Amino acid sequence: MSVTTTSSRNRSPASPKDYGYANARIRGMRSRLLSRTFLDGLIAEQSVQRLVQEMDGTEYTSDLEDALIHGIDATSVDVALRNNMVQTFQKIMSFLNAEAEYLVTTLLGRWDIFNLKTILRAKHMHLPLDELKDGLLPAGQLTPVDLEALAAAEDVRTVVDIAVTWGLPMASALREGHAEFMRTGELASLELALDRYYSEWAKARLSRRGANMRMARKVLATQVDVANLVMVLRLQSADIETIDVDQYFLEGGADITRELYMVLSKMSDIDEVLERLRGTPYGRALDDVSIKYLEQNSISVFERALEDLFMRRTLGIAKGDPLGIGVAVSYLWAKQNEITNLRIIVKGKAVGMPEDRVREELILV
Amino acid sequence: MEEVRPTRSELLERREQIKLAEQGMDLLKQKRDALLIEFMGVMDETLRLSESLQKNVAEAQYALAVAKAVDGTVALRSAGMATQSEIVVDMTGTRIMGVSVPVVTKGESPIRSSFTRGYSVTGVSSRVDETADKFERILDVIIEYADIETRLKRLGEEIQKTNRRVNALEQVTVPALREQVSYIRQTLDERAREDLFRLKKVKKKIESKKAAQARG
Repeated sequence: MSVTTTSSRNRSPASPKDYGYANARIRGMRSRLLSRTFLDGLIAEQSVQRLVQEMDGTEYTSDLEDALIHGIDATSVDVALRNNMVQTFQKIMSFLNAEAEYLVTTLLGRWDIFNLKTILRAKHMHLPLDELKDGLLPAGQLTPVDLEALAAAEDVRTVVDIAVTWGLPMASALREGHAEFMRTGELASLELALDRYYSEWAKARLSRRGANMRMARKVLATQVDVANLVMVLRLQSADIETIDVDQYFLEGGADITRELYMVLSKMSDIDEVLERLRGTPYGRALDDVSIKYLEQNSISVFERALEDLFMRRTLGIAKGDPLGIGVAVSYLWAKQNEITNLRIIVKGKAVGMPEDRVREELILV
Repeated sequence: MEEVRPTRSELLERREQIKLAEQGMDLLKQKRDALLIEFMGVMDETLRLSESLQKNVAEAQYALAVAKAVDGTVALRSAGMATQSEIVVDMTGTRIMGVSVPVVTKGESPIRSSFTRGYSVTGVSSRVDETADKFERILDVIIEYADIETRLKRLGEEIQKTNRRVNALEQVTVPALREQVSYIRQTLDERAREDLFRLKKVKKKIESKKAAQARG
């Protein structure tokens, strides 16, 4: 098991707080991110086949070659992009210093939660192992080997037991959520316990002093704020009389406090929520898409706008300190965003989505 | 033509059969017209549901494509694992104009809220959630559509069957019976004329016999 200690990974010979070596390598990798012009060219391509040909010579070439052996389609490209993301994340982790690794693993911890939830869902529904493996993305601390061992567990109970035996950070939340799961038979409570645990765990890990710690804390806080805001907006269409609204609040945010969350979630409509959010860092982003929301009547419009804002903020943190954690964090999210953009373009091309609609979904920073 | 005994009783029997066949034909025509009225009503409802289904499927496919593109197949697969459940459908039957039709009713609506779908909403994007909602709406319409389409199919089959019966009576049975009646009538008339001719001859012979006796 490789997750109980952070010191077991390969590390650069630099001192625990020297960012020079890692950041230099990351800047080199950043220069190979695809430009906006290149993405425009991909959007203009006529087919997925042409698009894949156009991507020849980029960072994705070898992953595409591996995944597209049996034919070129959007699903295979998705697999290639996913593999590339996992490998890139692993590569970055391999040369980060001890502090950077601590901060990055904390921020990427949500992928471990995601994978654990996938495993629990599959075990709860008694799904075959092959089907389960397709739903995993080892971009966090849990390695593919760890995930495979967890996936091989017989049932939900065994997954919890393995997590406790391995001493995984989220074992306590799993144990607590499992008791509720046994009582209700519903996995949602166990999943919620994991989500809540992650934000509290990450907040606690990033509570120390220091500029890098502060920077990572800021990224986490924005991420949590966005999650809480999306929840508030989703609650507008739910019957809140029957829901315990408070339990969906995640700790660790900055601007969306528990009090504000409670006030917002009890508001009568979206307009009132937007009105109250004016003046907060999220007000403008939400206001900008309010007409689009009325046209599409979909909360996902607000969610995408908030994701856009989060991405811009996270990618901007590298500018402040060239010798800090910002460079690594900014690159990891830029890479993730690039992969999402590529997926949107490929999928959009595959289903014949209009170019304007594809552009609307992209986050170009 | 069927072998017919050209007798008076046979003629009466055939006439009775024609009357019965015409009555049956009228009844079947009335049934066909009533079924057609019912069929047209069901047809309108089927078209309405079909259009609704097509619209829902197009919207759901689009939402799925966007969710797959933005959140990735992995996120969708994972969420899909949590939302699997069974759909309870009630099957009963009813009769429309004597036609047995199955009635399909939803045991429980397949449309669930974000909070009862099986996953925790905090870990699933609203795109994935809205996609799930759209597919559940398709399921809801499909169950309604299954009911109405089966009804339409059964009514259509019954109309065809009734039409075949009406045609058989109108174009085969009744004309055949009329032909038989006409044959019997001709035969009976022929016999009557022969009898008359024979009687006249006999009368003539008797009269000539009587005249000879009177002379002799």
